[in-house]
Amino acid sequence: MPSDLTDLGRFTEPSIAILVALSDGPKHGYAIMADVQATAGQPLGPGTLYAALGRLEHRGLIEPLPAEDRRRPYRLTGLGATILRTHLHQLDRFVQTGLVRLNGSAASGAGA
Amino acid sequence: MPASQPRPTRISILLRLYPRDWRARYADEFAGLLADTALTPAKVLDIAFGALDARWSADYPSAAGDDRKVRRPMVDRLAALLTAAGGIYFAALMAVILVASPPEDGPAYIAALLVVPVAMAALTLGIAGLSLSRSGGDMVGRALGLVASALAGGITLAILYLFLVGDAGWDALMALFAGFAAVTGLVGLRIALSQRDRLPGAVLLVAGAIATVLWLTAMLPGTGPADVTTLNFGIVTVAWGIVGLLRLRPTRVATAMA
Repeated sequence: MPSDLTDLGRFTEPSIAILVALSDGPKHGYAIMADVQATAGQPLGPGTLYAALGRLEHRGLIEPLPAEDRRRPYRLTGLGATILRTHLHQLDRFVQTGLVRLNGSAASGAGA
Repeated sequence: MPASQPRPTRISILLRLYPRDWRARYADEFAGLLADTALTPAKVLDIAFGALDARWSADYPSAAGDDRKVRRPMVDRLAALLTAAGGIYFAALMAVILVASPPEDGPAYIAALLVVPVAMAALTLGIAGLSLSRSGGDMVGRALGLVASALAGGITLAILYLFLVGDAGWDALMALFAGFAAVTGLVGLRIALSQRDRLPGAVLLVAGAIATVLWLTAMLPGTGPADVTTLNFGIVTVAWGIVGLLRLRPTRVATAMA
């Protein structure tokens, strides 16, 4: 896992969800919360959202755009996209390995 | 859009939970978000934790940049307050013992002496917090802070040992204290030489020097080591407490130590 995400501590998972929410274009806070709820199935509170946004912006993974009527959209930076892509590839390998092992275990269990 | 929107006063109260430089950066958009959000108790709690995190870690962009002298996150402030509390606590102990002069086997004297390990433990944690805070700086200063903290911790354990076991172990306690006084002097010297505000550094430097001299005079005939040790503890601990109080921006202590 890239160190740039793991050093986010307990905000790692919300941060990944936010990066995924921004991966198809800029969004403001309310839209990010709705997207995370829809894709991850977990509610994201306003306090957690802005704690994670602050960390991501501080590390240059996202950047703010000009505010529109008190709503400030954020977008993924090049660095943020690279780190998210790497992280998702690693997660994908992890998931595939787990599924292969699980299927192999189930097959050998059925054959025994 | 939620059916029930929070009132502006409620949003204003929630915003005030956050530190000033956070509000300067995020208040407008955060207020806009809250105006669009139905504030359930769970969300209010989430905001309170978010505000605590902002004050504790200060891990967000700020007009002050990453200058912790200006931003003063709570993790730095608590360490200095703990150090100051240790000094004040010890001063209270000294007042009870030296001014009120309770009988040595009386409950007031015993209760006052029990404050010593508590005060030293507070000092240990406070100094460790100051030296470990993310203030940057060089390795020597950070190592000095950790050594001072370890020595103060050793003194705490030695005092507890003396309370629980008896009079054996004064030599070890004196040796630990000599080390603590010497490191205190070195930290004070660094602060005095490296900071514009040199008073706290001078306080620590002088306290460390006096305490070290007093420790050396404990070897002279007719000087009770217990009295001198108590005096040394008083001087150095109160000096750390004074520094903690003088440093209204305690991160400067951490910067000098780290």
